[in-house]
Amino acid sequence: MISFENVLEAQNMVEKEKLDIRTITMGISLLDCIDSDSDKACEKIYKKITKEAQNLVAIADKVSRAYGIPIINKRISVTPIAIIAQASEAKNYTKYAKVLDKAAKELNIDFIGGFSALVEKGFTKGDRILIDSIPEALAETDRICASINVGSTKAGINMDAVKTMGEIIIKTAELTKDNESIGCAKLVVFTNAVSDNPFMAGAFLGVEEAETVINVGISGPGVVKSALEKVKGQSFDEVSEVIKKTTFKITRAGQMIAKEIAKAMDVKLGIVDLSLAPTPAVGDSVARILEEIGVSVAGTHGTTAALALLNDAVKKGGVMAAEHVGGLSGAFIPVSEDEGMIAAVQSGAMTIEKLEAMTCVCSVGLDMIAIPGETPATVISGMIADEMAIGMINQKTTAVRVIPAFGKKVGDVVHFGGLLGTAPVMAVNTNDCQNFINRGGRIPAPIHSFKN
Amino acid sequence: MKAVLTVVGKDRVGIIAQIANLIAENNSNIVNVEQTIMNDNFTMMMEIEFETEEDFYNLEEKFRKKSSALKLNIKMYNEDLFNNMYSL
Repeated sequence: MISFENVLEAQNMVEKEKLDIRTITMGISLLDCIDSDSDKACEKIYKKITKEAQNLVAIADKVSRAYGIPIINKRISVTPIAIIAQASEAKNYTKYAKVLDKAAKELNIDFIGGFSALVEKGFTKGDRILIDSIPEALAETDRICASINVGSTKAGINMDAVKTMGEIIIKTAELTKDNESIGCAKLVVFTNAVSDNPFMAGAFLGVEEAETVINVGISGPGVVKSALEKVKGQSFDEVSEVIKKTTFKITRAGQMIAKEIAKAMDVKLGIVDLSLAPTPAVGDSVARILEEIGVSVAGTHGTTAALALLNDAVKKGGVMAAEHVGGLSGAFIPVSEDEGMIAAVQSGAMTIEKLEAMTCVCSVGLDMIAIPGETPATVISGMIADEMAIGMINQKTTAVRVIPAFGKKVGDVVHFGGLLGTAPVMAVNTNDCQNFINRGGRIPAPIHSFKN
Repeated sequence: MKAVLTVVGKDRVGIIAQIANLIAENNSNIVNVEQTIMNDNFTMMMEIEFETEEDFYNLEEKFRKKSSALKLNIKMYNEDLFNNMYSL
């Protein structure tokens, strides 16, 4: 017997508190599309994606109707293109990005992730070509996301790649300058990247994954915030309990919807990403949860501890609710995609240094942060190196997705539109670090990585 | 399959009759009804049984289109949603 009270609560979550499925992401392996002729490879890629995912949008929309929960994005992740393209003669992989973009548009898919390379221990020929192709590939496509893994707890940090990525980010900003340097919003640098991530810009399908798979990323910051409004002034023990219980419910809803979609597509359900993903809409903010926990504004002292509690409780509640957990799993703290975070930056309470501290306890990293267009590449590399070190030492995923907004200065605002939101340009510590970045080589893996 | 229908709106004569007629026209069966007035609003939950999935989608579409003409917020959910969210 279904309780009237529960039905009304769930309905409220969707209608007032913006509970939604942020993304259903179909992973499609492209390993069988490898060809020494890049034109043939692109043809195989297009055929495979448009065949495997032909019903994804229609099925997701139908299941969304049946359960009354919106599915915001339908996405695809593919095998890192550096692996797929490097058997070919191509000296630039933009054509691979273009064919992915064409497939996304044909299928009405929001984003395809996987214009990626994994270079934490070194570069192959294809890795270098892919990285060099990123600025052009992102400038000439609309729905492609690129990610480069430059470090891991097991391998250390490839500092040559860190240096290169600072330069690539600057070039991407310049090539997409007519569109607020938006290319950089679709480019992320990782340590400990995960191969079942349903979220962009970092989604790709690892080589260890199945031929096809459905992964799901859930949202619901508004639901958590409103649950916490009912325990104002109570202890942290109670705060943690409320978050766990709320996350359990929203994870269950997400898993069930993903299962239905996987079943209808005859594809296995991979993982549920236990995520709290904000949007720029009012009432859908992670920063506002931190403020509900008790800090007057996100960014002030206490914020990192509040985020640590939130992130941990989200995982505990979600783990119990899901069959297989994966992806990034935790609270996301992007700036441009979170109304409360934008306000915190504009009030001066939130700085890049504080965001860096918060990334030690959140699920990803420095995310969707606009910085002045004239920031030197070596400074961006320095930011990447710091963030990668946090991930490497703490055995967690960390990432950098910064947008050096071409021609913009601190205090200007960059409008990306849609889920990518609006970013106030933040101040960066521009003291020189080029001697550090120019050393090159690899920062060795930490001692606690040797577990065999 | 079973679904849960929720209806919320300003109370007036004949809401239940109108809703029940639409369900009957769709050849679907009401198996449970709960109704109350909450914050001056008519608030109702119905559990409905469908013979086929198609019947569910037909009725869902009908309610979606008629919701504003009836001046009611009408939503229908696959019952499994609540079974999953509210049980271990």
